[in-house]
Amino acid sequence: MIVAGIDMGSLTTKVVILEGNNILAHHIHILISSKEGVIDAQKAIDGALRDAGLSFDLIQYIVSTGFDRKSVAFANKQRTEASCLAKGAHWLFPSARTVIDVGAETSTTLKLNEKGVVEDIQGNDKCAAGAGIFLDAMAELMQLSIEDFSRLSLNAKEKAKITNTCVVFAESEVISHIHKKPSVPKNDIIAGIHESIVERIIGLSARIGINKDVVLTGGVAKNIGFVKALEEKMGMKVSVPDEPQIVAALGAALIAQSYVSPRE
Amino acid sequence: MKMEEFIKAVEGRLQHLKSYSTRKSQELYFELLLEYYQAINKAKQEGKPLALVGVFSPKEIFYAMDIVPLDASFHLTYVGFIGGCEVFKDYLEAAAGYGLPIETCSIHRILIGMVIKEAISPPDFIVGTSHACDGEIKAFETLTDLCQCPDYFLDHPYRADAEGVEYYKREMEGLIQFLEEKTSQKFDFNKLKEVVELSKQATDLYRQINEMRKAVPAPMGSGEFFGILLLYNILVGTPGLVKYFEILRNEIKEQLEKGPTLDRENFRVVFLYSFPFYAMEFFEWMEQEYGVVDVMELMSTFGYTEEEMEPSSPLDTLAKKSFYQPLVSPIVGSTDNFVITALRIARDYRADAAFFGTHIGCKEACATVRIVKDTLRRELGIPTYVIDHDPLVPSVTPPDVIKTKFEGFIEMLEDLKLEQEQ
Repeated sequence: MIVAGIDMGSLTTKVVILEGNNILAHHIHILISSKEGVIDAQKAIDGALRDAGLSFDLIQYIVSTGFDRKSVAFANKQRTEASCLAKGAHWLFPSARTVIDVGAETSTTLKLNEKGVVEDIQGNDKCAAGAGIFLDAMAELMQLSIEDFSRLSLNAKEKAKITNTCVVFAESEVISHIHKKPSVPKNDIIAGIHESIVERIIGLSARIGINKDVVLTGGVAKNIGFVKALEEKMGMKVSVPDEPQIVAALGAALIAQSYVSPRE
Repeated sequence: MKMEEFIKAVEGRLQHLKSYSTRKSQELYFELLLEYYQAINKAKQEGKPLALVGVFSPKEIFYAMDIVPLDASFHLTYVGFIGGCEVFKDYLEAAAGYGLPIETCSIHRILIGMVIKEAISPPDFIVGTSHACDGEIKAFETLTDLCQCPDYFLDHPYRADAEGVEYYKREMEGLIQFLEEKTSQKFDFNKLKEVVELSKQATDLYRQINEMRKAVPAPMGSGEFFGILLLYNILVGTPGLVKYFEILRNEIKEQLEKGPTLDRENFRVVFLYSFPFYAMEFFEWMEQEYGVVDVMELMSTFGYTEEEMEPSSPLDTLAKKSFYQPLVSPIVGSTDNFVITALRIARDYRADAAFFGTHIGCKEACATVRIVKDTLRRELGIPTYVIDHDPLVPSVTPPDVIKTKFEGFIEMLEDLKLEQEQ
């Protein structure tokens, strides 16, 4: 039985094709200018099918998730990101009790029980300062690729103080650190930026409590500097999936499986 | 939106309702609202003073002097309800131009912007209170400065004890003296007793309605209950409000006999504190899409007391009511009031979950979020959904974002229910 999960994020569409316990393929489609979710979903699923060497008609059930999930006309069912993240994270890390997802424009924290059922949710307020787009803006400001930006903070000796309330304020603070005499080392500025977003996300997560084990998902989980800052601040180890961006799509695929073969 | 434009919008809403509404109370609501605003608009022409008053002020005292009080905060809420919150953009800009930072409560910024843009006629005097909202005191002082008019502030005590009641009674006596001076009218205590009698009738009916709402399933769709709170607050002490509540009470009673109006009731939710007033369609959406029903709002709740109003001692009874009336009771005094009230309504109304709207410009109740959430979870095992928003500024948390986030919460409730059933 082959099923698929599609996560329609704000900047990327992710697809996971699943057969039993095997991920046959996953595909991340970067959205550029399309305003029609269904086209992006089709492109993403076509990419995944190509990778898996499968055709669309072999997929028995499709669940879509993410902000634009309702635009996927060919999906059999829609589920919210929270349910899908929980499902995917629990499948990958059964001991997970807290899932912190930091995507491009949103961050969400989930509290799970031992069965992986969501017991509490907290989403960020409408502010880029708690999401990946904040880090993109900062990397661009410092004329670094996001990969270099992520890595450089590991060599920081100190952390520059950066506000965690507003991207605009943070930008001017970064500029003032750069132009200081002597200027603050880039590594320290980036470490400060990571710390600022981490503080904001911990503040958000603390509203529902942070319990071990913690799983970090979403594109920002690929940022090793951010992961280190998060672990330091929380004082605990964080589990990061190999492909943290596809966890919601994976969860959607797992939910799709349950619809095709519901448990007795 | 100038007052004349707003009145036209209310008239339009009333005409629209008359063409499709099947409930008399809905029509009467807008008839009363129209009368209220027409009276405010005509005040100057009739040589009556225009009083701009705070949301917690004792409206009965004004009605006893034949002054129609323009409730500043609720006026904005009505403008948002009826005219749409987009109209506030100009006022927010005007307030920003006046130097008010965006961290200031949007209600106060809009109010000040409306006065600057002359969308509210300059009042003859301003009356505020210190109930729970520090922002109101400062914003009203700014308004006084802008309007160059006299003001009076009622200092409301922290504790609801005998000393507190006596203190507030003296504060209201001071208000009466202020009004006598400003209107050159002698205050008539017999008239106040009549007004307080009407206030008592409306209050008793409101309490009855709140009791009837405990029914499972809920007697009717819930979007309008926030509106009822607004009407009570601006018209308490008038005969129209009593008539409205009698009709509404009878409609709910009839509905309870007939059976619920909603097809299904999957989850009963209590609404704590603020709500994004630009997204009132949220209630119908959550009822129809998910069978989620608002069974009670914290702000519509009376404080826990058996106290009944006593019109023969009008100031004493108004002083007591100032602690237990809706809107006020959970947020005056200690955080315990908020927590205990939230717990009480969640239990009494058999809620499955709570929705806590935290108005980002308001520190009064938002500081209690964690205590309330933890208490509801610990004592009743129910989860609380917290959403940061601004009640009058949609750009902070747009309606679609609210819905999307809430859908995740509903799925969580469904999964937890399924798990319990298994």
